[in-house]
Amino acid sequence: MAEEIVLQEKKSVTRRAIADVMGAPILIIATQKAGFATLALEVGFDGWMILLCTVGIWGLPGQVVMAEYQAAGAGLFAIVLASSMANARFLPMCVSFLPLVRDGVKSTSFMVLMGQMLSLNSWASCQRQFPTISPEHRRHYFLVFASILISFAVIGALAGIWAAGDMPLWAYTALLMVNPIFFALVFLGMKGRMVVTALIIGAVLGPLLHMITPEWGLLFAGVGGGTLAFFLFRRWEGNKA
Amino acid sequence: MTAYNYLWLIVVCCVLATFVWRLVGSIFAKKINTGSALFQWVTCVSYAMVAALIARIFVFPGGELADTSMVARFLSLAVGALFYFSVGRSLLLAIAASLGAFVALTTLPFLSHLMPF
Repeated sequence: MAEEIVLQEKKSVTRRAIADVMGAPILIIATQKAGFATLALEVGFDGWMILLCTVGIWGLPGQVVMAEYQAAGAGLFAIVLASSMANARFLPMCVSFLPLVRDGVKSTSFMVLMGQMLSLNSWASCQRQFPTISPEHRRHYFLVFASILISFAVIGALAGIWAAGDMPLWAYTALLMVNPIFFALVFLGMKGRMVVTALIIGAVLGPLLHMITPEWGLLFAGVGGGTLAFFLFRRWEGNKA
Repeated sequence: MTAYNYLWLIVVCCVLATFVWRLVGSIFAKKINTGSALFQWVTCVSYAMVAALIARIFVFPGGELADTSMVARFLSLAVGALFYFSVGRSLLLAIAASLGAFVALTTLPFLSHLMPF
């Protein structure tokens, strides 16, 4: 059954977006970016680089891969390729999401800007709320939600940069654990044969290949393990048909 | 190139390397079929890559985390998972519980002494 459109005024859409983002989403994003800042500082990146990553990469997997892989001693090519592949989900996300907010937008650069602002949080919240918002105000909901989220991400990163130097060790190591724990929990909750296969193969190959070659291990585990999962999945699907 | 400039090079390249996905997705939104085999492969590689990294951090962390107990890292994840699946799938609560467990297991003497490795 289709949900009823209940939000038809711009004002109420603004209020809904603010209410949705001001809670778990901003707390989680600020903590994540503070955790990333702590990690990146430890690896040698400075505050300005961290801020550029926060708004420029704007995708935690690619950011964490960049910092961790640099720490493991990988070369530029391997780091950039691994970081990019870790964030490759933005291609399907932009493809499926942007048509929902593009009505009336003539400028290509504005479309690209909205693509840059998109993240998993705003994407998920929009999927939930769009059925209740009249179509002409959906873009407004997204822009309000994403802008507030990005602001708190920057605040979190700044807090991490500012505090990392004189934090007690227990708080410092806890911040370094935020993102690994976050991803592990999200992965544990995931369903779908293809994704679960890719996760398991990746998790097994990651530590193993790191022992053999820290410089290339992550890239081999990701590209090799992902490709293996892909072919296994295709084979199962083929057998079913 | 100085080490400092090299780090800037990494950051700028990584920013562009994520931006490319968004750019292609924004411009060709109407012409791409998200159910295609290429998309499935991209999805598999993304998930395998991040899973590989996270597993590696839990088993062989770098920096200050390297001095913490591996058992403590996995136990705190188990506490988080317990909260996540029992208390209404709230990520915020689960992360808080998990971090609380991690701090307790690594700093409280009577707990940290129990960690075998």
